[in-house]
Amino acid sequence: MKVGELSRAMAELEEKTVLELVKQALAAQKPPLEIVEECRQGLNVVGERYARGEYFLSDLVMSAEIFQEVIRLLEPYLPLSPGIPGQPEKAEILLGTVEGDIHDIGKNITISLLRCEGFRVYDAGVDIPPDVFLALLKETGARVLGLSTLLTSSFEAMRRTVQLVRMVGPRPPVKVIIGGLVNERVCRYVGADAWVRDAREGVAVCRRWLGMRLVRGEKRRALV
Amino acid sequence: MTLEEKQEQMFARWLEPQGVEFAGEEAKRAYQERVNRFKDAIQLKKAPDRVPVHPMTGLFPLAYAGVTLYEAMYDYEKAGTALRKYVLELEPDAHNGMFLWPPGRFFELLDYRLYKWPGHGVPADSCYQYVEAEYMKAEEYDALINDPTDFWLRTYLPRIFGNLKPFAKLATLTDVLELPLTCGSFVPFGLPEVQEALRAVMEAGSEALRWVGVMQSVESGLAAQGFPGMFGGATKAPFDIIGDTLRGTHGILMDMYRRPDKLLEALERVTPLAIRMGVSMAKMSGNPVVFIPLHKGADGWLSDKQFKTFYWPTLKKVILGLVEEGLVPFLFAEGGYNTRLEVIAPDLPPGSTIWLFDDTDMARAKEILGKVACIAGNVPITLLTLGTPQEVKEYCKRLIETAGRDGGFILSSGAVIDNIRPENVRALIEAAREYGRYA
Repeated sequence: MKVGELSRAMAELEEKTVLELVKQALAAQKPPLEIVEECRQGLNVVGERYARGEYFLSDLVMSAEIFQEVIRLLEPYLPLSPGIPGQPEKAEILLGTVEGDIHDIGKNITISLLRCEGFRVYDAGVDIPPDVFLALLKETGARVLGLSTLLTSSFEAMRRTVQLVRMVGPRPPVKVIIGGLVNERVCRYVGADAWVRDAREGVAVCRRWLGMRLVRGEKRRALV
Repeated sequence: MTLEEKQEQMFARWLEPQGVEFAGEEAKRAYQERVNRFKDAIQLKKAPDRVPVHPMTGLFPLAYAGVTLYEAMYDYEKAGTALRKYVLELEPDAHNGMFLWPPGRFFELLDYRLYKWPGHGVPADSCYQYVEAEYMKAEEYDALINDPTDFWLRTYLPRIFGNLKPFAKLATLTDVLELPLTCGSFVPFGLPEVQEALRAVMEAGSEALRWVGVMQSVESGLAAQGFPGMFGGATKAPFDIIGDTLRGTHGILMDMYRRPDKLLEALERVTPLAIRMGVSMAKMSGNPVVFIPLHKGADGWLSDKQFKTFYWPTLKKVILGLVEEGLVPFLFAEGGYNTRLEVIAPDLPPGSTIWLFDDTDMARAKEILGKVACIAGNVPITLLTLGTPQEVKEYCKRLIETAGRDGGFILSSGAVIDNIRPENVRALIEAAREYGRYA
């Protein structure tokens, strides 16, 4: 396999080529973590193209889908799954849709992108009451809480969740990011630290808060 | 008849609603003044007397009257009273009627699985919500394409209604041909479980009929007092038909990469069905405006090429098919449509469509679509929820100055209004009267 061919195919979203190259690499006894890393480089290109407006939501979803298939192929060979796509016991990020709302598309896309980036993310699910978020924060040890909603009627639930977490949540306080039908005004109203309207921006904020997972040194920590 | 004549005929029916006895000359004049306000805004031949205002309400009339959606879905009279209170007290130029609050018992009788609704998975005062899943499998495209109705009857309905599961055992009805080739198709109707499912259908039908009776009487009562409903019918973009509730979001996005030809074929296949849906409802109701909520074609979802390949061609056919029958498609473009304006503008028949925008730059929308289409919107739902009446009015004033210039504009919210401060809805409606005069 030519160096970079796999990450190129990933970046171009050529599903068949990616899977074929992964199988070839495995047959050639290439270390599985190196294969993962090459795919992630391709995913980075996808992310950059998305940020530049050259790729769209459909492309992001497709890239995460291809990556998950790669992980399925590699799973038997990996010492420890890099947190994808299963639910981790301990997590850096806890993400869910707030009480009264069951929208999950934005949440799911964000979670798969974060996991592709090497973050350990706990998916709280949808329609999650404030006290459940609180309990999950304590259980998972997450440092970042992501709350999603697409309903104006759930702004209150979002606000209650943030208040509860601020009042009796873990110390030092967790960072709260909100996503979906939100803006600066909603962010101020609910008392969150950041707001985003798209999954990729959410990943960027988490990177700022938690550090990169894809740079050389940290990559190992994230993967092993 | 020319297209123009057909449209005039439909507007004439809207202006003189069948079976409505106006409360008096004043009510009749007010009703026709309101309909004409929309007609002028839509047809673009002249500016109306003032900007028409149509708040895109969902649960708001219920919240305003202190009625939960749960109560409305189970007590139709109560829902009707709430709608009347909202319309008569706030006096919008058009209202959304009762169709967004369908009968809860109907869904119970069939054990509906596609949505959660108050009392069935969401709280009493929340809106119903769609349960995202793959209700059609990737390998079922051929079944859908070969015979959509059969696919709906024997595959889709058993999945979305728990009590219609036995319909999966039905035989294909197109096998009914000659005397010896008839009986076989009816054998499944003899099965006890199928008969039980049919009894559920009959009961659900009775409930739907009861509900529709109340709805019609409430809505014609409002017309009699001078207040028209906005919509005569509804349909969907073919891409959303397949993407929303059949394949699901994830499914259809993947299909664009993995089986584009099948997807394109299926989109073409459901297009005439989408046209039929809008036409039959609007013709029956006598109101030309056909509501089309747009979902997956918004900015950011699909690339320009994907939009032009998968989304727009069949939506365009639906729009043209409706216009062909003298109808007025009302496209509810949720999210942003900034990158789509240039694509859609050249294909639109002039003076025949309404585009309600949410997160779209209204000055650009006016510039690009203003000569061919009526635009509507876009008072942000976050402002309406968290802002003050004064802020709402200021936004509306600026909006009317840009998007409302020379007519062709309906003042509305950018997204659906549920439980927000009534004074903000009042401010929205008043803004049209205060800042929207053309004369």
